[in-house]
Amino acid sequence: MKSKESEYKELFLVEALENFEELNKLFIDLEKEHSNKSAINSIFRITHTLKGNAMGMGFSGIADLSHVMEDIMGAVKNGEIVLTRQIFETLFKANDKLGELINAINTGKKVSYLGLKTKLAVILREAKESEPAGQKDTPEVQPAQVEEGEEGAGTDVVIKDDVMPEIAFADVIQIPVKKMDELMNLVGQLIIERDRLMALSGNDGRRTSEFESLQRISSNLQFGIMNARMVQMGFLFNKFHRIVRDAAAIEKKNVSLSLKGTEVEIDRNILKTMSDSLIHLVRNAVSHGIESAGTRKAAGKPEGGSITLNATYEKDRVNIMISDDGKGIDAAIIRKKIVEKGMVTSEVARALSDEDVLMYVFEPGFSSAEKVTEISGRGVGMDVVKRTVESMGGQVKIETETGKGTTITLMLPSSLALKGALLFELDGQEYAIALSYTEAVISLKKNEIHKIGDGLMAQYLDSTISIVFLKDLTRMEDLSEISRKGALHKTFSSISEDEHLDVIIVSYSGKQTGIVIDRLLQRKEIIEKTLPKPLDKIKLLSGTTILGNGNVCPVIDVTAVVDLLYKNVIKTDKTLVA
Amino acid sequence: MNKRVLIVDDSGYMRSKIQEVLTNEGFEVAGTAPNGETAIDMALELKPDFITLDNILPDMTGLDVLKTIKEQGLESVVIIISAVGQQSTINEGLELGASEYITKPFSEEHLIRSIRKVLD
Repeated sequence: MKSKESEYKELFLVEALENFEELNKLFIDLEKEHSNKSAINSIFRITHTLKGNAMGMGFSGIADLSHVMEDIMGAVKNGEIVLTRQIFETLFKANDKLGELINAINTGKKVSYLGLKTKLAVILREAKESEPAGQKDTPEVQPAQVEEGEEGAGTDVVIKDDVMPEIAFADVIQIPVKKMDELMNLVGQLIIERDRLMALSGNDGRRTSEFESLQRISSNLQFGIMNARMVQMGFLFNKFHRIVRDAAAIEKKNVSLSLKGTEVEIDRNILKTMSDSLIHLVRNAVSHGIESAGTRKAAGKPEGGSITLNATYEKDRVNIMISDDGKGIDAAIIRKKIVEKGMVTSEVARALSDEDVLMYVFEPGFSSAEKVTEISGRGVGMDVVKRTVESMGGQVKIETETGKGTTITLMLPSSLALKGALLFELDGQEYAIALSYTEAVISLKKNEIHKIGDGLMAQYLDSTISIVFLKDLTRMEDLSEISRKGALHKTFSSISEDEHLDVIIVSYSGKQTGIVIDRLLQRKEIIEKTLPKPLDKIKLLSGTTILGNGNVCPVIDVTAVVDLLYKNVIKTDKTLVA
Repeated sequence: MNKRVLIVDDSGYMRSKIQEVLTNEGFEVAGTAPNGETAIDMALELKPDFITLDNILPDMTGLDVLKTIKEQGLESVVIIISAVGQQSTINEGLELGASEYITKPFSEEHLIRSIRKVLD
């Protein structure tokens, strides 16, 4: 595993070489026309950036040289220095030297630059001095041209001049994400095509073994491309030092941030999609989680609050945890609030467990009345966080202890490319369900399922869980039919008593639900495509995938199914509150 | 071991002349530099025992060179060579850490005597 240092160094190098290439181009533009304003401004800007970055990395040579270059370009910009051929030549040389210094980071070669740096500093000083006074301490200074012709003829020990120009290549290349997406797409199609071929060869065991190496190679290829898209979590986490500092300054709180699991890798697109949500959660932790220094002291806590960002692998998932040691969330207050807001009746609220109540924090409409501070007024609410996580097949979890703090966990897939899925059959059609939500597949007899109110229940392990016949939902013309009496009993009532049922147990938002299907087919890696418009309005589906046999297979959206059931139950089911 | 010297002068003739005198005198000429930029880099690279430093160079003054190399902690003995009448330059040079000065034009004996004086 690469260290953070070497990762930074690599990034710095990539950027510095880019800066250098850009400078080269700009200097060439500037050579054609010494008064090219935009080139002057750009060189000023780039050397400034480079200086800052190099200082941060402790590359003093690059920092020193780009600093004096920046100063000269600044003076040129302000008209304090007229860019003569001679000055230009020196700058051009300085740029070459900058390139040498950047390359030397890798090669470890010693590069002398102080001579040139001093020369530039002298140019700068003289330009500034000569302007007002017009008088020089050293009137005898001759124009450079006078002696230049002769210099080469001397028998000087030449250390550094006339170095062969070298074109530098960093060991890292940058690839536009678009190209990576394309590759991913192509490899996805390749896998589908492979599966199709393998399906064509039928159940002939001898034939399928001939596909073994094709299968292995294409899977490796897919894995390789997925892997190339991975970035380390530290990439995003490290930006949070600043975010926490700023948020804490606004709130006048003392908050420290610690990072863990920065080496955990995740798909770049997932990280990008999550970045706004993470900012929101961290700012929330600063402004709502961490108490003021006085309150903390009174509670016997250290005055400074602390926030931890952590990332861990869990199976093929990555969990991101945002923890604070603040005041925690009081379920009783949330319970009161959701009733006040009319989200649930007071009877329902009383019946809900603390865990269920806390999940309402993520509901749309919950946080809207929160006072908009400089920090939280960013248009990303907790409901958006949850929706974002779920759009990628992930889940959110909240754990809190009053007075001790809160941890919000985002459970994310580590890669968007492939999803583990269960394929099953329903009414003669193949469907898929994301493995990330499934907990088990069990077999139930009809008499193990009981009607309770408008819903169905069964015993699973130690708890009673809701059961739904997926058919009852897919056969509806309109999902609003669900509130009609007996809508979820239709299939249940029509089957014979001793029938064995395949039930997929899914777990979502802290609730287990059994989904009854016709027949389980197989476990499979799928590449899910989101639905094109206007089909994206279809509630129960998250997307589609193409199977080896060429059939289009809808992917059931577990979150939608569970939300639909659960909301229906708490709105209508009186037994729950009895 | 022979003392090593870096000769800094913008005039090629002057460099050859000083080189010849000092070689005859038993010094090892580690390098010669025609301008300030090269002088600084060579001085820091070669770390000579002493440097003859002409104050008038095409790209900067000898004092600029002196200042930079002293800032870098270079311990070489520096002998400033300046034109007659540049007393302020000489004073500043001595303040910056030069050990001796010679004014142009100078004789061979004068040069050698001055060098011996600071090296012994």
